[in-house]
Amino acid sequence: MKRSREKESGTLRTRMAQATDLPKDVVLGVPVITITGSLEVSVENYRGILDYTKEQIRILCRKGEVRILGRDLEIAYYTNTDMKITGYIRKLEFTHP
Amino acid sequence: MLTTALRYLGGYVLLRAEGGSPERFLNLCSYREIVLWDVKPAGNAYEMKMWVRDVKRLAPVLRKSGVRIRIQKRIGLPFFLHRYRKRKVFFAGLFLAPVLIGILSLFVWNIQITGNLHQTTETLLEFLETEGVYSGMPVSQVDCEKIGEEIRREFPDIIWVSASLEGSRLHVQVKEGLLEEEPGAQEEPEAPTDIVAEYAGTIASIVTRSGTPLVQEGDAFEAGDVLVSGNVAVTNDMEEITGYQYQNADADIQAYTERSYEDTMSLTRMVPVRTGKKRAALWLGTEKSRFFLGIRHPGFDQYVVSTREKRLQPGENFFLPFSVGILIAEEVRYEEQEWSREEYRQILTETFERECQNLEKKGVQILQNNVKIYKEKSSVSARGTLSLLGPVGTSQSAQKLQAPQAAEPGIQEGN
Repeated sequence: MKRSREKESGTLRTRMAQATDLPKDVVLGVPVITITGSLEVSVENYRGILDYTKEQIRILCRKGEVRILGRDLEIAYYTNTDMKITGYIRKLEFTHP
Repeated sequence: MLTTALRYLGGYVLLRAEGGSPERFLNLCSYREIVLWDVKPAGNAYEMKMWVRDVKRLAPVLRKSGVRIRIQKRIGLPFFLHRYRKRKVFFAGLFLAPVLIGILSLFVWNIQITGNLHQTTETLLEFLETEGVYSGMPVSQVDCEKIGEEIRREFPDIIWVSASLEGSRLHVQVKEGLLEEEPGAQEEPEAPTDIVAEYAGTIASIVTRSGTPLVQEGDAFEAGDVLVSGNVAVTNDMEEITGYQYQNADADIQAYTERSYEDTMSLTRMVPVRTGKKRAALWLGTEKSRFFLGIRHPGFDQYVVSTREKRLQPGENFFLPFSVGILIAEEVRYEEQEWSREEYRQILTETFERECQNLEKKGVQILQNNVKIYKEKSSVSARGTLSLLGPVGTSQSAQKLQAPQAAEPGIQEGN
């Protein structure tokens, strides 16, 4: 029951976002990720970092998490609103709860 | 680039965070709007950079996350100033340098003169110095209009002057006019001038404008002969000289002449050969004196010296009164070398051709030349005679001729 309501509200939000042309990152609370080749990833609209090693960075978002896999990963800067990861990026994964 | 500069100005620290929950530490920092950059995992710990002002706000974050931090490095201007706070002279210098440059920019350090062809730059600079315009004068005392007027007054052949200040340089532009000498023949001069031959020859043609011609076409003359006299006889009806008019003799005279030419040069020359030993000295100086760093007298018997000078010039038009330079003394040994046939032929030919060109510039035609190159034991020479056709005669002041004391008419009649 609970799950189906969540699903409904999700679809409602998605529909609203599509109908009103509002930016989806604001309405849906999803992260905005900009990838420059395999060198840089900029992430906005996240909650925090779950795990950080040279090979993997897990970023918590409002729904699910984003996992960046690669080699020699570094956080070039990290603020409340956005972060930039540099290094050799191999893979970017979304995990849904 | 800008970010780096701003970070340097504000001052930041390199931190090492160990133990506890580092992810939580990062998140707490971002929650409290503590900016982090260059976050790197380093073994079990993390290294990161943050503003120095944020370090003080870290205490609750550290308590909550259980992370221990160590400041690895302090970077930035505030730390730099703090480290060198006791070096008062350094800071005094930092402050004095712009002040000094400001003070120095109040003076003229360079006077540039352009457009002068006949008057040398040195002459003009010397004149300007007597007028109180010199390198080192305050900019506020420069009166460009007055400089223009003074130069025009002193040098009549300069017809246009523009003086302008560009930074610490005074730029004087001049234009020279070729002022023809005013013909003064209208008035009768006080003393007559003759035209005198400066070499011997034969008259080819003579056109006299003023004065009495003493030679005719075809006449031979010697050096020093008067060709046209400035004393013009005034005769009466009986062709007796009653007096003299004094004139500046003026005539176009062409003459044939023979001129011997000789140019001798030694067959050998001394050539400096560098031995490879050299000494250098740096110097710092003003226009008048130089201060040498290093040995100024190299202690070689014979040496060639070359200097290179660089005027300190922070801007295109901003000159400082200092220059730096390097003086290099290289030891040389002179060795005797013989000119080769081609070399001496070329040198003698060039000298001869230059001489011919000089003659042609004076309006002299070369009718014939039999100059040849003769080689002797230790020298080589170009010898011969030139047959020339060219102008002759220079002005020279002449004796005033007085009219012969005419005998009393009565006595004449009596005879």
